[in-house]
Amino acid sequence: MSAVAGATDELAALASRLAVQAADHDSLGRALRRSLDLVPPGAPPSLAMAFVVTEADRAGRGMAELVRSIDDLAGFVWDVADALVAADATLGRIGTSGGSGSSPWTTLGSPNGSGTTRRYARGVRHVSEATFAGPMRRSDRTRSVTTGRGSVRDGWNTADADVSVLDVSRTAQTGKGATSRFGSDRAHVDVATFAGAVGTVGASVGVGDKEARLAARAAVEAGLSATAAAFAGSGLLGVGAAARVFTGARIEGEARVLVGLRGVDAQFTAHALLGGSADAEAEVDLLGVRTTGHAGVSYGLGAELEADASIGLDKISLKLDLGATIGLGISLGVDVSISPRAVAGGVAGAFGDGAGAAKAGVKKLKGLFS
Amino acid sequence: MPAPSSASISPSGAETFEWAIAAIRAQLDLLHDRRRRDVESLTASWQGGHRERFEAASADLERLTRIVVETLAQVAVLHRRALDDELAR
Repeated sequence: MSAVAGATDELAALASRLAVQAADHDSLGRALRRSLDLVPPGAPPSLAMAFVVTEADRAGRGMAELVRSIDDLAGFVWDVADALVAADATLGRIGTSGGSGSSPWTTLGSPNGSGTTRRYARGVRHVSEATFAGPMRRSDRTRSVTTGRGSVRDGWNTADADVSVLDVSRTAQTGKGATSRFGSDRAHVDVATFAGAVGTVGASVGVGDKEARLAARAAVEAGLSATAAAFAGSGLLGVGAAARVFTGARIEGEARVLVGLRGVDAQFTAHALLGGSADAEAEVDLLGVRTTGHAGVSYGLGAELEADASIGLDKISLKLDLGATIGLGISLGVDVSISPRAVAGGVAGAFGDGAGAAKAGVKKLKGLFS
Repeated sequence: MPAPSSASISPSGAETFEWAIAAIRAQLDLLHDRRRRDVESLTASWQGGHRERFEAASADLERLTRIVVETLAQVAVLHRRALDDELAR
């Protein structure tokens, strides 16, 4: 059991003890009222005894207020304990692993490898967990990695939860390729060629307090590709360029599903290309001002599908976009970014020597007229 | 202690009343000490949110308890004074 779970138990136990205390104080209040019966009324009742009764009444009202306050505190502590238990239950969707070793905040398990940490800070309960299951040997295929993280705010009536239950990605390729570098670190050209097929698949599942997210993506590319990347530069100036040529077939798709309290929203996009493409990108970095430009051209047969379906209590909608291209397509783009800090540093560095010379000249002039 | 015939309030009744007030105060102190230890031990390692509210509520209990204890002390003093007045008549 983690220390956090222990703290929840402590809070629950304190709430119980406070509830008992409230009952005990209530009994004391009743005893106080009964004690006034022990004072027989004088004949006639004296003013001093009237003060006694008045003060005893005041003590009785104070005791009643004390009972209410202790009861309120007990309820409050109960609420906190309940909120923490609810937070643990929500975060427990990630799954907890049995641990062979433990420390106050972290459990570590073996032999498959897992780690869980939970902590409470600034009103938010956090959990991070990573598990590794399956054989570690590279030759074995069965392997799974699961990482998760989430946080729950322990408000009384609301809980914001966002838990990433699963996020996996895997790339496989088959074919032949070669990579070469020409030049030095300061100025070089990298050339790579590959012929074959590359496939990438990925999936992610997330759970929030308002919706659950499922996403899956896959891309397959088969054909011949060649890339070349060149770079030259020093601290103040850098020039880079990259180009990629591909011919073959490429298909990629992505599906996203959101399941929430208000309905279901599903999106699907797919792109396919049979033909070829050439993309080039160039970048110039001069004194903190970075300018990039890209150009692309594709040819062949392309198809595009976008679907968006939404099913809710108020509205049901379906949007479908289909597109096909035959022939030639061109894309162009330019992007400029400026880093003031880098610009200032670059300019100061570049003109530092000149400024020093000017300062020396002024010093000499002052020497002439003094 | 006044003689039984010298006051309209019987000495045995007065003693019982004072004993009852003293017992209530003692019990109140006992509960207060127990609760304070309980709360203080948890305040240091408070794991829930709204720690300020917990501390404020605890401090409020201290204040209310002090008021009740002081009022009960005042009751005891006033009662003793009332007895003295009865004796003086």
